[in-house]
Amino acid sequence: MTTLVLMLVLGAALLAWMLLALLRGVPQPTAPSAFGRLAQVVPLPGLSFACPHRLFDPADCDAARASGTPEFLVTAVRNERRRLALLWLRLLRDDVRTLWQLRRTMAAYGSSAGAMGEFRLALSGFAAIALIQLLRFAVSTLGPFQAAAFCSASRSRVEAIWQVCAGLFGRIPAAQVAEFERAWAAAMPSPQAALLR
Amino acid sequence: MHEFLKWAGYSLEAALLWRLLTWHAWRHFPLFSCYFLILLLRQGLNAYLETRYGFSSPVYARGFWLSSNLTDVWKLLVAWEVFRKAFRPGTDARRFAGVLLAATLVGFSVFYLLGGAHDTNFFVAVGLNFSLVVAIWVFGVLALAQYYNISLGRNLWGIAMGLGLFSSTAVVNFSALGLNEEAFPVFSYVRPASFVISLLIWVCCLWSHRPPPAPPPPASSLDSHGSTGPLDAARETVGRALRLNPPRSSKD
Repeated sequence: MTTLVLMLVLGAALLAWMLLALLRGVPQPTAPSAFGRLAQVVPLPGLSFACPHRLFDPADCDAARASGTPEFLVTAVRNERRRLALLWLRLLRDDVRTLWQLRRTMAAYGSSAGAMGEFRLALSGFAAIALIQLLRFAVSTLGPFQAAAFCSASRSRVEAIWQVCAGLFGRIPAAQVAEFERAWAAAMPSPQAALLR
Repeated sequence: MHEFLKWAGYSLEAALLWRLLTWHAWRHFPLFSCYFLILLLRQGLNAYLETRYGFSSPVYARGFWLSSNLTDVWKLLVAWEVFRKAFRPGTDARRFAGVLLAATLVGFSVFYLLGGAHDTNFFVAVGLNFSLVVAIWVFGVLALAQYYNISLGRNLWGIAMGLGLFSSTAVVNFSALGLNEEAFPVFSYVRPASFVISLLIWVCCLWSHRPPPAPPPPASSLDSHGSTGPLDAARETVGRALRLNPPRSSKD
């Protein structure tokens, strides 16, 4: 009896959610143009580095060791790789911060994901930062090759935030885009300055 | 009202069959196409049994419930097809959704084996449990697709929405009837009406083949400038140190 009541309540809740989703209609995918436009406005050096997994791949170090390269050179390469990996992770962390600031700027232009959407975005942002910091710690202490497992996870998290931001960017009225771009350019330091930090 | 729902259902089924045949839907959604075929065969079987043995005969009742349970089980396969098509293989979203949905299935199997929803007869309990699992699964897929900003496309969204609506109505229907059989006159309209609405959703969303757009790649501002800045310079240093000549391209 109790089970049936529970199932009735659960079924009614699911039915109500389905009806609401039906009334909202087919979710519109983010227009590809929104990604292109956003890519012009917001430079994301960490996310656009195409093959970060190469930084964590020990194949060339192994090859150098196998070909008889002196050990001090292999060690230097490994240390250099560690520095590169940390640099990329810093850029990726800065990308999250940039996207977070972008979201705040877009909110001023009336493009909001709603309360739940904002909450999810905030959660994604925190999770991405936490994962990247964990990876930075792992790279610093263990080295780049041992920390490879976290690499793709941290990048895909930032990509998810990027896609949400592109969706929000697509909602800004066309007449306000130029004004938004000016405001954004004034609010953000140049990427070169970020790299030199 | 019953006559209206019956003929609306027939018309929508004919329209859906026509559209699915037109764009060879079975190539893209084989399990859903089989499900629709099973629904059609089930209606034919029920009509035959009713004409041959009469509405109140035990043969008709057995045929009705067995075919009903078969479609309920098949709905689970359609839900699996929705899940498989919604999330690309190898992605984090698919792994997470897979674990979540598998846990739901296992949870409900354990719940059923421990005696959940046994207050009604066997056939109703099977229908109730399978419908609930399908509704939760569809809800999970739609919610996760929204969370990960994954576009399902009109076809897949329509299949999921119609299936979810029909299944959640079946849960309400079966559990309400299990609690109070006197509610039957009301629910004799609700379930057929929900089926007609689901058919309407399927006809609208499956009118033509509309696959989801491919997800665009993230910004590649560095690629467009042809340089990766300090990363590029550092990689050259590494290359020099190694005395190797790795393939150099702006995408590395």
